[in-house]
Amino acid sequence: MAEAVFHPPRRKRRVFESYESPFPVDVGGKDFRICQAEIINNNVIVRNPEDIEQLYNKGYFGKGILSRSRPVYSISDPSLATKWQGANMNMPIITSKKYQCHVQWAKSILQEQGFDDCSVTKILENYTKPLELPFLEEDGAEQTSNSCNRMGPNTENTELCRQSSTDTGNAVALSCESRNEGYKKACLEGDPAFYPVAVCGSKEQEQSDLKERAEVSCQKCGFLMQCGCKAKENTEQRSSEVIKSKECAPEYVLVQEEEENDLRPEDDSAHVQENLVKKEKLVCRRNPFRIFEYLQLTLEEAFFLVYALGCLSIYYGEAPLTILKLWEIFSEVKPNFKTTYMAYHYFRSKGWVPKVGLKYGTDLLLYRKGPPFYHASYSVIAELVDDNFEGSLRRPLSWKSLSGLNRTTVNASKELMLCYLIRPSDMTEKEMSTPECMKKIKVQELIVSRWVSSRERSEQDEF
Amino acid sequence: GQKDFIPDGSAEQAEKLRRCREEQWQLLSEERVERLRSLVKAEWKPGQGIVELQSPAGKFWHTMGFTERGKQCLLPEEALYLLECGSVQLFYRDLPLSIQEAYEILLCQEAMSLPHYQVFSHLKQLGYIVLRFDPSTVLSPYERQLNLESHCQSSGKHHRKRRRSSSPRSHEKKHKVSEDLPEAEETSKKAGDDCQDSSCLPTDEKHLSEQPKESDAGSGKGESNPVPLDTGQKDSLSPSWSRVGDHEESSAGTHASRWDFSTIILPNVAPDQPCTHLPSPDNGLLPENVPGREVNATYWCARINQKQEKLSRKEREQRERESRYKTSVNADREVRRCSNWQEYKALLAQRSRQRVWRRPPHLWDQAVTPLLRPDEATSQAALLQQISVLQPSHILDGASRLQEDPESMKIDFNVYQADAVAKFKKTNPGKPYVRMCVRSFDEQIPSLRALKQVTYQSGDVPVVFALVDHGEIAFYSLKEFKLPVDVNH
Repeated sequence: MAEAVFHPPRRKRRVFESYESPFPVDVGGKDFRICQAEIINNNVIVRNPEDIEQLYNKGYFGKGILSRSRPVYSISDPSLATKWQGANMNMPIITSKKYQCHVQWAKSILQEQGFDDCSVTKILENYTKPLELPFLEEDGAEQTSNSCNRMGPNTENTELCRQSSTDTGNAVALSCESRNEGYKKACLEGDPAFYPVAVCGSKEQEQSDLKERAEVSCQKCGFLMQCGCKAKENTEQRSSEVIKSKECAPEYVLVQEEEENDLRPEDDSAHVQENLVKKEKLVCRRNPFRIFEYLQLTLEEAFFLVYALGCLSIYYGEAPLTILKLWEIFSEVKPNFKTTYMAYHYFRSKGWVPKVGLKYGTDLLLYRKGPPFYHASYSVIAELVDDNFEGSLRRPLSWKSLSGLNRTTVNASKELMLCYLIRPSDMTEKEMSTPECMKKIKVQELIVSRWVSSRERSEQDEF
Repeated sequence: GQKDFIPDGSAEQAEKLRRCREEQWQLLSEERVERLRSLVKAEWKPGQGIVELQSPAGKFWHTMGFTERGKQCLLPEEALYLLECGSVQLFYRDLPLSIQEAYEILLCQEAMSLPHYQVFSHLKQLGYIVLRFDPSTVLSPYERQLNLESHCQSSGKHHRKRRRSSSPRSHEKKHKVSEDLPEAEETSKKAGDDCQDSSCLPTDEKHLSEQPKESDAGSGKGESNPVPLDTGQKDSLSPSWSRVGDHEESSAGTHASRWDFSTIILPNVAPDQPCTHLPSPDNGLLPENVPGREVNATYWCARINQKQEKLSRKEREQRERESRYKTSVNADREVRRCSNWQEYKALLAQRSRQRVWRRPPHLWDQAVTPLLRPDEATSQAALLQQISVLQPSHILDGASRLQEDPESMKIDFNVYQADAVAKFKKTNPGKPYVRMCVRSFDEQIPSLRALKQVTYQSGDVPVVFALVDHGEIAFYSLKEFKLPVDVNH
């Protein structure tokens, strides 16, 4: 009997990331952070930007819902970003046309919320007016650090952020400055026009049936706006900590606009020429219609973070779920969850990063260290069998289908692996209703390889 | 130019196909010319299902055929193959058989159907030596352990390696020895603390290798610690560390122990503290008729080569890799200050009380809690160990008890490499390069059960599945694998 030889994975030629840690858990337990996620429509979503960063950077958990993998969605126009390289201050750069679209969308949202056209225009005009760049330097930094503690003209602003988050937990697309009911200096401009919005917002929270409506509208824009469907945060943990400043702070964008030139008819042809050349400049404005990208975790990833590492809490509605409950719920949502989870857990406990194998027709793809560093090495199919080594297979394969699968796998420079999870035949349903059943389960890995009869003669290949 | 992939209904394509077919037909219909004298005459014996040679065999006799009752004979597949090669002429009832007739008549048996023959022929044409599989020629794991086959082949070069206790057992049947294996599996787990998961041999074999050693050792060696298998590193990923934690049987009883831990001192046996004076052990600890005595090993130490071990580059690299994630528990100063178990346990308890992380009740005040205790995870390796709850399994685990199954998949051929032709001996072919199972392309892939049966049956020779699809043959293998642990990032 020959064993399959381990082929070390190929390193990617260009690696743009630096490796932080295999798991979002600090060894030693001193700086232990528990992230939060929610179940929305049978999906596990993480909304907090810092949690997202933590979970993705340390272990490559999840996928940005608007990105290919790492949540890097930005409304910034890449061609403009290169064009204005010098001026870039960590703000997205967009065209004027695009900005107008955002304004239109914000307008329709406000209209749906019941504002009359006059108020809508007023609110938006105020919100979208150009801002001074020097002022923004402070705000630009705000994006990167937890600035809720900073003193300065922002203080009241950010205090409000914290306050309003704990109170209502609801946010409207417009800045959190609007969510106040007693602060006169609500926003920098001190515009009381925001009050109506605030009132509407908190009312929505009180009326539970309205919440559904808000959810509906939220679904329409696909988590694009912080509408009323956001569940109330677990405030205990957050009260002493800094609340996500990224979410409640307004997003500043640079809009490329044409300088307004007074077109005066001139006799001099040179002047006419000048007027034809429109100068472009960047104007900083607030984005009235923010698009938030969330991190979506697969059921296996989510369960692993909760059960194996204890660094994630998953909420359904208001209540955080226990491990047993999650095991039950996930098994209902995905019929073979237990099998795929056990395989996932096994490979994670070996220090490899399993990602979903949908693109290759299998269950998992195994990466060494993480997708940015090495190409995936193995494409895995997981099956649960009893200790007579038989079972009803999730993917019964004929040799024909196996050879097709092997071909596509090998074409992508991966190896096809079958992962059998062997459970004792006398394991009851009750035993399997808890993840502790894994302690009695054994794992058998097999590598599928094609033997080429003619080549074997010339090369003394590993047989 | 480019291949035509699908029929396009054009006249051009139809004409091309017609011409191709015509060429092929012409080729096939060409009459094969052979010298009548060099054609070996052979007769098909349907009663015995074999072919008997009527004239002396040619060069093919080196790798094919067998002798029965003084006559040279061929198996049906061999005869058919030689017929196709133009080396023999097959007769039945005094008339020569055409190739078509030969196919029809010779391949209507259980053992040798058309797909089997196609595989046979394919491999023969590539130069391999293909023999039918005979289960009784497979050495049991125990016999292999004794290097029995190499003993048979060479002229007793391995005589010296044979254990004293093994000679009467060398002829023992396979199934008798296999009964020992399940027991061996159990006990070897305890002994296998240092066993690396990526080792090639299953643990039961390793244990067997110790038994003879111990009987050999006699009085000289006092210790019976198993030597850990060092299969060598193949690459930069490290094999898993010793899973001591998993192997500890959780002995339920928490009865009061008869040891007073406060008085038991942990001896320091570090390399810088030569432990040369060993006091006499407590008589209560020794078996009845075994006397204990004090030992002063200074004399012996002086005679041991105490030169600094020079590590090879590979060993040095391995050590350096391990130092990145492995830490000795004694590296901790506070641990060194503990002079007995009680103090050490108190230190651990104190450390666990200093938990900094908060434990949310919905995770921790429940029947099932998270696996990881962050304060106990002092390194990445320790973290991985805490979350490793699934046990590894080897392809041969439990395979021996599946052997009684009459439905088990059969191995069809032993295949030997073409390069081995010169040294090949029909009477003692030795270990094949690979063994073949012939199956149909439309069949389901073997269950894990069937795979274990076939792997076990094959001994230590790899198994390949030959899949026949209307004349096209593809070969696949399903090999045992253990993903190495990746801790070095």
